[in-house]
Amino acid sequence: MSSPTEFLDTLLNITPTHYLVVAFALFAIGLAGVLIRRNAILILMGIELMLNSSNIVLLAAGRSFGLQEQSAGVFVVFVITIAAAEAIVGLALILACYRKWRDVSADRFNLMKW
Amino acid sequence: MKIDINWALLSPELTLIGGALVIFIVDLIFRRRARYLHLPLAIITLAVASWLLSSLGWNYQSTVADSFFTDRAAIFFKLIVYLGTFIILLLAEGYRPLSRYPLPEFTGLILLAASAMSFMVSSKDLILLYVSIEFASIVSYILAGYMRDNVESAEAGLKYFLFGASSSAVMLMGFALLFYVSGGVTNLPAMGQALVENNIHPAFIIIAFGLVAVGLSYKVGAVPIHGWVPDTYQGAPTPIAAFLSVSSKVAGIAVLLRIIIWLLPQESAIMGPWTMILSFSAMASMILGTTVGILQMNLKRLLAYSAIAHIGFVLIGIIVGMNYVTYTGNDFGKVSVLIYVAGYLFMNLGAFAIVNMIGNATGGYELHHYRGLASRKPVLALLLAVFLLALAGIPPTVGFIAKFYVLAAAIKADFIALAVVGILTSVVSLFLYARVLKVMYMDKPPKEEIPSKPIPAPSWAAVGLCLLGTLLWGIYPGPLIHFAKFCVKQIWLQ
Repeated sequence: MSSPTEFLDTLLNITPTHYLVVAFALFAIGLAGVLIRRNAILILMGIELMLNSSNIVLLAAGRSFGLQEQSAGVFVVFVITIAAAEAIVGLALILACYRKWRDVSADRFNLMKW
Repeated sequence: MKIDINWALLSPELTLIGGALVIFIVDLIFRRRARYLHLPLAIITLAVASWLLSSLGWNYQSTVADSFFTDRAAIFFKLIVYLGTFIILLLAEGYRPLSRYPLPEFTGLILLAASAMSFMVSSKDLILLYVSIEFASIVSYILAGYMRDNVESAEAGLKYFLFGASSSAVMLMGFALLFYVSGGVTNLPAMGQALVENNIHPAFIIIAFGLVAVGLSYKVGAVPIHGWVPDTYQGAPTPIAAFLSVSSKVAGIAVLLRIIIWLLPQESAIMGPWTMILSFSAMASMILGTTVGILQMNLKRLLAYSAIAHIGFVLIGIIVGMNYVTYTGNDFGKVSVLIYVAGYLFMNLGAFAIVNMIGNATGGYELHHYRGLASRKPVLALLLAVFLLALAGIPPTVGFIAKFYVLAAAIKADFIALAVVGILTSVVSLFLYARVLKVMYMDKPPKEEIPSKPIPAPSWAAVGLCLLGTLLWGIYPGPLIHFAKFCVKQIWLQ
């Protein structure tokens, strides 16, 4: 068993790989949410998780290539903006459907199939 | 860092955005007094944008730190997008259910979508590519759900949104991984070089490309992310269904073509797996589109499945284009993609335009609304027959030329399996379209009369344009083929 200081050192010695693991875990959670959840708003939240996991990958990439590399940061700002715009349109569409069905469950939106 | 911007290159897109803003502002200021002004404004904007586009010259140019480019193929795709947008604006004028909703915003949003698709075609940078794809998607969600008091339109918009947002989030993960492994490069050709040079494990690149493929498959509406296509086409306003089936897909195809050229250099290790993935997608699209399409009782849904099948054909051209490269104008795969896209624009928009008119006249899109149409509306029935036979690939229409070129390219490049599936599905698809003809020409018309409402002139203009393109290029395809070869000749310059 190492001393607390050593343990703290290993803990703080975070490499890009650690970021990638976190990002993939978040991505998997988000994708599972999109595929499993039936509530449209929860699906939207899963999508947001997936977008943010990509942000982590981008930032990890930017960090590992040195701080003068700015394109990662620029990309992330665009992704955040687009995620906000997408959420607004998505919530508006969900609201329009809610007015008709009084429900936001994706199973109910089945007027058209086959 | 000072970035030089060549505003001339960006001018068509900026014109479209400016035109949309002008339409919004005019509507805000004048309200109902200017309610007929939006269509002329939009048409003027499109005309100016096309004029600016054609005055750019045919040579390759790029600007904004090499992130935005034009070349012959980009101009070709943009002209297709603008022409599709123009026809759709004419159609929207004749679409009755829409008249209860604010039309100027609708027109403005269509212009914004056209500009976003134009950016998609021209982007050479990962960030610009992602932003423009999302720009086009978000505007399309709004347009699909535009008739918000109509249950089907709201449902169509929501389904389109859920499919689109989740698959584009997956695609973003693919982009992020590519960005990571290529060492922080966002310029697409440089990224393709970096992918080869950095000696990355092929499995990793396959995963990243698979994620990107999910997003693009949604964008062009190919299997496996085809689930939204029938529902969205059926529920969305008919002009928007036509818009999504042509302009949006053309932009997606252009992006796919660029990605295979830039990110998959010939020496790339994943050429084989990638060809297999695309071949599976192409075959599945063609088979599913035709077989399930036969079962449809709703014309818009039937056209949606036919659109899935047609995307399969375009994918054959793309597969050939990425495997057999000659670096000259005789690059059959890519030439066939361009020809197919141009032909598909006219025949598919024509079919949608007629379905739109018949929907206005009979009040529905179900197959039973078409019973005995030939005796009651002979002109519309005949025109629909022409466009459906063109979609089936019967000469002397442009549909035959398009299918012929794609299949010839596949056979020449030894993709026999793809060609066989293509030929078989086009035989089956003839049955799909002939079913509608049988209902129109053989069945007895129902007792009740159709209220004969006048069909607005813009709709006739749209149909005339589509008919001209379908028949003229079917009988005399020389100029189209020459133009496509001319455009492909430079596609490798960067």
